Amino acid sequence: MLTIEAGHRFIDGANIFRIDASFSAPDTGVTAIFGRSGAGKTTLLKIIAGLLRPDFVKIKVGNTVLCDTQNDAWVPPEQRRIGYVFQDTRLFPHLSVKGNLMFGRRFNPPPHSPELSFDAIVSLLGLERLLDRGIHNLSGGEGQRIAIGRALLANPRLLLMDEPLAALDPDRKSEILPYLEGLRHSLDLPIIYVSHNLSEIRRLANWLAVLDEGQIKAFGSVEEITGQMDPSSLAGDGDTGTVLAATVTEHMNTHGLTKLSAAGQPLLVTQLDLPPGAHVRVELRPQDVSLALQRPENISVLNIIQGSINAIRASPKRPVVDIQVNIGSSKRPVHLWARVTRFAAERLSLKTGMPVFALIKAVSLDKDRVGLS
Amino acid sequence: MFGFSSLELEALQISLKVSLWSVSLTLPLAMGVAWLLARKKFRGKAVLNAVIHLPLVVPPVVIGYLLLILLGRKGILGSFLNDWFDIGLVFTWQGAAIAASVVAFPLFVRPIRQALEGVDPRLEEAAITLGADRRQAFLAVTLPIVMPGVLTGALLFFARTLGEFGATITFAANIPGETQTLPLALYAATQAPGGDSIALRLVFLSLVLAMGALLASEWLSRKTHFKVHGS
Repeated sequence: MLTIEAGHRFIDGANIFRIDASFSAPDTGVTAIFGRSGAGKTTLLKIIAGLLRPDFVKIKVGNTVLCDTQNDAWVPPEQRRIGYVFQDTRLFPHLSVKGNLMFGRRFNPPPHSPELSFDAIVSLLGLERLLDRGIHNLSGGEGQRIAIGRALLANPRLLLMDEPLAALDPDRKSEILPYLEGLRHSLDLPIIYVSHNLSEIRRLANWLAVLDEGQIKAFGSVEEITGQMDPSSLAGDGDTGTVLAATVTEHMNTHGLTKLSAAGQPLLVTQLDLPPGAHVRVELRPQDVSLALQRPENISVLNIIQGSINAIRASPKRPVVDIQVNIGSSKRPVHLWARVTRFAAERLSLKTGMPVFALIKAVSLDKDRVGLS
Repeated sequence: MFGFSSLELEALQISLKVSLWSVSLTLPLAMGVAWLLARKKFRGKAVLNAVIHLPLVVPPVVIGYLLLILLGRKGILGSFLNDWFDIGLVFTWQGAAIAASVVAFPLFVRPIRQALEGVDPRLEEAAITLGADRRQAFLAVTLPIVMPGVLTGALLFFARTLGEFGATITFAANIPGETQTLPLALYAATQAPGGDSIALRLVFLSLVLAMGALLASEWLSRKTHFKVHGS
């Protein structure tokens, strides 16, 4: 297990900011930390890396206690072997790409696993052609890949990534995301990934911790948390929504569609290049989900999923209402969120407990919204 | 050699000796002061900064006289050095080196300080997360990046010590074969009847040396700057 507990009080004039965050995540996989700017995400990462010494902190990676201030245990940051990918890359300007990548090698024990060898990391991140170049005139995506490689080649036991894509434009983002997905699948290394973009989290993270005002508000699997928390609290710099776990059941080649099974119900999406049986994740934007009280007929919408209203989140200030629908059973609930206008919700007199049909257009579920889990 | 007399070559040799020793002994001090000024906040920082820059605006003779008061045989520090260690600095080439170093010190500190201020201290933070301790992070990251500044400072300082006159003649006097550097020899030659041709040759030597230092400085800093900044 990866255990993080941190508490600290910052006093800046009259303002007091308090970090009081703890969570435990499995040893492998990616834990995303989601939070608005100012929620304390970077501060938490700095505490984990040891760059900040807080009032109280306990960090355990696997069986190794890296610090436990209550028992006077403190491993200095340079001995923690916690890799840190900064948002602003922080590449060393006086070294070549290769020099940057090799920087951590001399300070750390060589890696045990061949996946962390120089050649393996270079090819994983597609850096072969950049090695002899200086770090000037690199694109943002290249710089970020080098920064990731540099952190990995220092043989870390835990990797921290602080919004590595936030400073990149959409094209660069989609250039680098496949590398990050590759990283997640081929490395046996716990990763803490800070982001406030739900699409990134859906594509990269297994676990999701929601940080707000220095506190962890929720922790669980990405599907669980996005189903539980209302979408407006997960609105970051991209779309908000629910992440559903699904399995590929069959391809409908003549129609260019793929049939999935989510919570035991069929779900049609635009055709995927994945074999039947593959586990996928579907990102459902609440505005792509409509609700009906009866099963509509003669309608173009292909996905009509039966469920019942579990919760309604309305606020007099907003013209829209977020409605949580349970499409699983009462014993094993699976939640998704639908966003309708307040006017529509009033017209249908939507109430908690009501049976409803969730309508989802298959065209809204394209390759950008569906991917391997 | 090229018609230079032994007195002239001796002056050249003393000049080089004084300047090279000045550079190597002042380097760590200049680095330390530049680092303090660039990276640290402390009480009296403005005063330290002013004191360091004083030699730029005060006549060198004043510096020489202050050194006499401080390090002379009867001076505050000088008498202590003399009594306890039998070290006398007045009228020695070491004294000339000290006088020249004090006068040229601000030229050494400024470029290093500016270079240090241009280095993002968060790069050291990155180095620490990669396993370097504070000292290693400074040596492996910050130092190579500020190297152009250090070289510029060292060469400006070197060139300035070569030309030092007022403080040197006041504190170390004009003793041929001991403290008579090129400018002091030139001064002596202009005071002696029929010294014009000697003076011209000394002027030539001084110009060649100074130009050489400045060109080397330019070349080195461009070379390292390119390596660090890539343009």
